[in-house]
Amino acid sequence: MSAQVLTAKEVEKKYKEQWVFMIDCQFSDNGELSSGQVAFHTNSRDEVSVRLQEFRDYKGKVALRYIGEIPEKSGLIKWEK
Amino acid sequence: MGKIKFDPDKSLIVVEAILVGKENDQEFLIKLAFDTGAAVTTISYDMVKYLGYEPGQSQETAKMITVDNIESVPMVRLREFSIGNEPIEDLEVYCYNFPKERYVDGVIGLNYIRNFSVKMDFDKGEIILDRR
Repeated sequence: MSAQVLTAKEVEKKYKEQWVFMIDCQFSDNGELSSGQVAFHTNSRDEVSVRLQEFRDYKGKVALRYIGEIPEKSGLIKWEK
Repeated sequence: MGKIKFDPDKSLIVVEAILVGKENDQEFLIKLAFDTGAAVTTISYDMVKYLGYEPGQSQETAKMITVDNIESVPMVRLREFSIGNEPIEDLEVYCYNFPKERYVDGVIGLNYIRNFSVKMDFDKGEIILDRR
């Protein structure tokens, strides 16, 4: 587990096309992610569900996000070409 | 008044939402689609379960019409749900197993949105929520 605190922008640059789970997060006054520690990252959404269980008792602010572009004309679901 | 940034050029309006855990006070920020065409806020089943809610034990269900099916989905009440630092307590949400090939973990529907006068500014890429 990384102890390094990264800003939301730094995370978006570093973990492209991956799901990133962060702990010890700071949220802005508008309720947006400012920074946090990357607890894990993966390109598998299934792995996210499994690994999240390690943090169920964590007390604090956490964040999960997919870092990637949503293709044009795409909807909620990621369609394969 | 809440201000939420979004990218007006994308095919989805994606915003950051904060869900509060059932018992452990964990605040979980996830990305959701802002969807005025959805009646009820719907969150991925695994996120809701992770936060200590028990969708599998819910006595309340709803019929949900998807692109190719009609499914029965459980409903739970979140202690608190917010976007733009505008919390709503005890919000009903549907819990749905979205396909793993997804970009966001659900949609924000009218049962949250209608608590506000809403301005969507596509020039600024900004949603403004003014509590009614």
